[in-house]
Amino acid sequence: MREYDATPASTSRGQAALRWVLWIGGAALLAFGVLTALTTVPSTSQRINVLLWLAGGVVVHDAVLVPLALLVGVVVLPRVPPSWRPALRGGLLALAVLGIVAVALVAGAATRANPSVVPQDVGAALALAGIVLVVGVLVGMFLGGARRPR
Amino acid sequence: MGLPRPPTPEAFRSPIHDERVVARVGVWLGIAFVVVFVTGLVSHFLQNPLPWMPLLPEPSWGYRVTQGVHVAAGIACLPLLLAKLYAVYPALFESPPVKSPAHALERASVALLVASSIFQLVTGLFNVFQWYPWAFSFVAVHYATAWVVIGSLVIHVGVKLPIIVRALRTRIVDGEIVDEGSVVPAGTLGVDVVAAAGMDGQLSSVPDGENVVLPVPDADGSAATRRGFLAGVAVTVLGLTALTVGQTVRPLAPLAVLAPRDPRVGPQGLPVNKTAAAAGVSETAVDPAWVLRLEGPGGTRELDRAALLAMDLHEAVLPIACVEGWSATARWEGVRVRDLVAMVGAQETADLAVESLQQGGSYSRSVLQHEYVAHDDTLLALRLDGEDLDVDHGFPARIIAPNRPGVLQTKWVARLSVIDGGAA
Repeated sequence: MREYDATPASTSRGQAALRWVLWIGGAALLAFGVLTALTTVPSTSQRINVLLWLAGGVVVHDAVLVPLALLVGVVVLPRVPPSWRPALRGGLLALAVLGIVAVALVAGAATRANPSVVPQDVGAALALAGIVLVVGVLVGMFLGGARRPR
Repeated sequence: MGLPRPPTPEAFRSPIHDERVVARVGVWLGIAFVVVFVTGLVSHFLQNPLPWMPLLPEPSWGYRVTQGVHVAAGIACLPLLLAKLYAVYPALFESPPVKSPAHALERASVALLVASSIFQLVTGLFNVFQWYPWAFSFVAVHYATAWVVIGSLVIHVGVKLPIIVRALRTRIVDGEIVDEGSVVPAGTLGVDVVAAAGMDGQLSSVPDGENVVLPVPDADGSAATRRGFLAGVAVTVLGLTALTVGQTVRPLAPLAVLAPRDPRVGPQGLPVNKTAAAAGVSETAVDPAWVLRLEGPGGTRELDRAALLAMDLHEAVLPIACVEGWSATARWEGVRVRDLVAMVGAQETADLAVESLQQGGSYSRSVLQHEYVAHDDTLLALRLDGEDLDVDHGFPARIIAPNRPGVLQTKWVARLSVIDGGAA
C-alpha cells in the first residue's frame, strides 16, 4: 500500500509559486477574519459560544450524520439492484439536507415574530417536499434501470 | 467484543471516495463560496460604507439580486458541502494522524475550513428563518467568519492544487469520467497507477492522497457510481433551489414551500421584518400629533402628515430587499427626500441622518448618503400600492430608496437632519 500523502509535491515551478501565493494570501485573509472577530466579538462568553458552535457542527457532522449515512448505505445498497443505487444515494443526500432545513423551518415557525415569517403550513410544506424527494428518487431509479447495461 | 478500532482510509471502498469526484464537487462548492463571499461583502459595505466608497442607487434592483443570490447560493452550498465532506470522509482517519509540522498545519487548516464552513452555512440558514439559538451577535460573527472561511479555503486550494489539477484533467467520455493518461506527467503518479489507468478505468484512489490501486471488481460500475453521485448532487442542489428561491423570484413563489418567506404574504401583500409592536411604536406611530422634524443649515421645520400629503407627491416602483434574502416590488408614493432637504436650506450633496420613532435598537437610526438623497426615486413614502402605509410598513412615513438593504429603509420616521456639507 502506497503511503498516504495529503500534501503532494508541486508538478512545476509555476505551480509551486502559485501555491505559495495561495498560502500567503489565504493566511492573510484568515488573519483578517480572526482579528475582526477579536475586535467585534469582545465578550469572552460570546467567544466561547462561537467556539462551541464551531466544534458542535463538526461533531454532529462527523460523528452522527456521516456514520448514519454510511450505515444506511452498507445496509441498503447491497440489497438493491445496482441501477437503483445512484438514485438512492442522491435521495439520502437530499434527505439529510431536508432534515437540516426542516429544523430551521420548524424552529422558525415556532419562534416567529410576526405572521409573515414562515407563513406556510410547516407540516404540509415538509410533506410536499418529502413527496418531491420520493418522486425524484423513483424517477432516478427508473432512469437508472432504463439505461442499457454495458 | 472490544471497542471498534477507527477505520483506515483504505477501508472505505466506495468508488465515490475518489479525487475526481472530490475535485468536481469541490469546484462547484468553491465557486458557490466565492459568490456567497462577494455578495456578502456587497451587503456589508452597503451597510458599513468606507469613506471613499461611492454608493450607487442604480440599478434599483441591484441589492435585490446580490442578496437574493447570497442566500440562494448559501442554501445551495448545504448539499454541496455535505457531498464534498462525504467524499473526503476517509481522510479523517489518516494514519498516523500527524506526520510532520507542515502536515499538522495542513490538517489544522482543513479542520478550520470544515468547522467554519459548517458553522457559516448552518447559522446563516437559521438566521434567514429568524431563529437564533445562540448567544452571540450574528451579524458580527457572520462577517468575521466569512473571512476565516475564504482564507482557509484559499490555503486548502494551495495545499491540494497538484491533486486538483490532476483530478480535473480526467476526461468525461461516453458519460463516464476516464483518466487522461497522456497529460499526466510520468513520475507524478506511481508506475502501478499509470499502469492501472491504462487498464480501462481500474484506477481508484483515496481522496486526498496519492492514487492507490484498490481491488475494484467492476470498473464500469465504479464509473457509473461516481457519475451517479455527481448527478445526485446536482439534482439535489437544483431541487432545493427550486423549493426556496421563490422568496426572491416572485413567479416561483408558489413552489417555495421550504423558504422562510413568501414575497406575497404580509400586510398589504408585503412581508414584514420588524412590526410596530416589536419596535415599541404601536401608539406613537398612529398618534395624530405626529410631526416630521426637519433639521438643516437653513433652520428647522415641522410637518404633519397632511402637510406632507399636500406636497408634490411622487411614485416609485422599488423593491424592498431584506438582508435575509427575500424581496418584493411595490409601488411607493411620497415626497422626494431632496425636496425635503431643500426646505431646510440644504443641497443634494448632503448626507442625511434618519431617526425613527423606535427607541434604541441597531436600526432605529440610519444614514441616507447624498447619492441616495439626490435620486429621483428616494422618497419619504406615505402610501403603498395606493393605500396609506400599514403601521407595520412604517406609517406615518418611511424611507424608501433604490438599491439598498431593507434594514436601512427606516420606518416610522420622526426626524431627518442634514449631517454636513449640505449648506446651500
